[in-house]
Amino acid sequence: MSYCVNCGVELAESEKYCPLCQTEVLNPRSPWKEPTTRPYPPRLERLMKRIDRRYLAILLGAFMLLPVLVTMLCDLLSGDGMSWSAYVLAAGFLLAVWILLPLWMKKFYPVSCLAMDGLATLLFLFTVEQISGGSWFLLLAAPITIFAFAAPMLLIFLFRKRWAQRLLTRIALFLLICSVFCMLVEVTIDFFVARQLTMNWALFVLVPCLTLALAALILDSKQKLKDEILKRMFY
Amino acid sequence: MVKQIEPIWMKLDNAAKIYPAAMRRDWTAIFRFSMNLTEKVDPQILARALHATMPRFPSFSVRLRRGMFWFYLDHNPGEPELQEDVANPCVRMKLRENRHFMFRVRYYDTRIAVEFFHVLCDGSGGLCFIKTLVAEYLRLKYGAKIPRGAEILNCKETPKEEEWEDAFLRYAGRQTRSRQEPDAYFLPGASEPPDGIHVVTGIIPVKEVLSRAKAMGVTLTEFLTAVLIQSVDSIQRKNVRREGHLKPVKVCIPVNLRAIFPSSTLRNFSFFVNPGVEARLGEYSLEEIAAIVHHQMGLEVTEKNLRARFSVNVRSEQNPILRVTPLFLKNLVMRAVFYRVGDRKTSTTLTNLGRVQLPPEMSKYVQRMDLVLGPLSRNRAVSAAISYQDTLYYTFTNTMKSRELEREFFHRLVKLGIPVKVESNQQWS
Repeated sequence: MSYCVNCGVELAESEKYCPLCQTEVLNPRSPWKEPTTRPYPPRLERLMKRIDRRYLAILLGAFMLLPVLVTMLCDLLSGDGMSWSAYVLAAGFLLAVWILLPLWMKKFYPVSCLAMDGLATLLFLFTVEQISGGSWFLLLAAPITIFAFAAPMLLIFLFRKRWAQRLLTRIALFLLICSVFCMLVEVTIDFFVARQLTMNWALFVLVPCLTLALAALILDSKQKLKDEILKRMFY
Repeated sequence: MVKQIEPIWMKLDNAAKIYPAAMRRDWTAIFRFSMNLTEKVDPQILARALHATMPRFPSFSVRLRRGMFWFYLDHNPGEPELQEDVANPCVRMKLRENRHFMFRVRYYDTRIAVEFFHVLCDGSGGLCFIKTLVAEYLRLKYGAKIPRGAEILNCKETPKEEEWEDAFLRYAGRQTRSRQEPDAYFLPGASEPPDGIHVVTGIIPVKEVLSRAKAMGVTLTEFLTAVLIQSVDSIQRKNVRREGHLKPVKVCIPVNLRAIFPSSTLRNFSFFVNPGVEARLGEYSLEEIAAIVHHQMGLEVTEKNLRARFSVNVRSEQNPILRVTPLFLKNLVMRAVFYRVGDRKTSTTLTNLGRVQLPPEMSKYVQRMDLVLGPLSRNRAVSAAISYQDTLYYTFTNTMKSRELEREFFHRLVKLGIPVKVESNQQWS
């Protein structure tokens, strides 16, 4: 007979580990042996997962296909070939990549999903530009879309690094990337609108973000300071 | 020869009405009795025993159907298919896969187990069924002549109508009593998936527990409840820093109403009381908690109080507006009430079936008895106790990743000088 050194309970012969605290049974006088019968058989009754994601993706896809096909049919029957229904088709494709693709994937990969979403958005905006006319895609829409999707991808990539596991470091990183993103957006808009750099509003984002990021980094590096603040702000 | 009675349909009893409304794809309210015999179970003989037992229990030969206004129980011929036991007992019961029966018979090595959906019966009805089933098995296997009576039914006898009465309706009074009470502390922690059920059984000598309980001047159930309350309270104190934020710690104790209101129904006829302590007032010693539980039970478990409390449910069921509300709407309301009230008022459950006695002709073949309570909808750690032949089998069922409650409870018993032997369903390879 063996006892758990941690809980004090006697363990049945079947128990290799204490079922209460998972401490291994190490009795030199009576080493654990596989019993002839366990208290319960090894077979588990498995329950089906709540939602079959792929089934849901097919179902949603079918529902999304319906308005796309109806609008295309209406457009084609009106006699001028495909014109305005191309917007619906492009939007349907965009939604499919945004919603159906993550459902279809067996494992969720956030960076890959964001990359695909970014590409789909670029394609959607390009299509809109092609149909409606204009020259805003290459100099305005494409760079802003790339920055908008690259920023969270970079953030996820950095958050996975070992040095970026602490909350304050993550806050600093988030603020830094936010300020860089705002700067890039303003530079893009400035060049598109006036072909020159004016830098108006982005500085108002940049200064507080950088200050707060710096404060977070300083605070994070000083354990004594953190302890002092916690001590003074205890409740 | 048992006289065949007309196939019956029945209304759900008052306590059962909530369970079909509250059941989910991954959860049904289930409990399980099991008996360990001296020899390996023969499934063919067990199937014959089940075939012989079923006609004596017409209220078990039923399936759940949806009516326009209520669920009802319709006659279901035949018997459920025997199943080999599994490592995770009390996993939700899919009625369609069980030939629509609301109980399943399982076997493993020397053990016969029956798992019941609570719509069908309570602990007393379930115990009567498994006792009769095992008695039939022993008769067929060994030719055992086991005396039959009120607890082990004679399968050659014609079923009596009072065995499927809704005793709540018979005993409900005019006066009611509010069910309002504050929410209790909820044990925190990550959940296992719905099929991940941890079962830990403590095997404890009855006389050791009883002597400690007597020394405190309380019953065995009250003593175990006090230890359980103290265990939950200590977990709460570890997790909640501010004393003012401590919530009451209460334990749901089912009470068999047959002891107070005579009835031979095999269906649900039990109620519950929720003794507990107000944790924010300070830390209690075990003696203090035992005294509080003892007095709360004394106040609550009285004929008048229990009648007034279950009459609330009976009167709501008889409300004319509720009666004519279509089932799908009623289900939504009942589900909302269940999630708002349900097991929110208690931190955990302890159901003690007490000492089970078998006639000597039967007990020489039965080595052990267990009662396992399936996890509740919200409270993920619950416990059940049953005493057989001077041993108390105290089983925790837990769907959390942590086994802290079990550890606290058994560790406290050990510290009180009560020897505890534990076994579990854990898989180690």
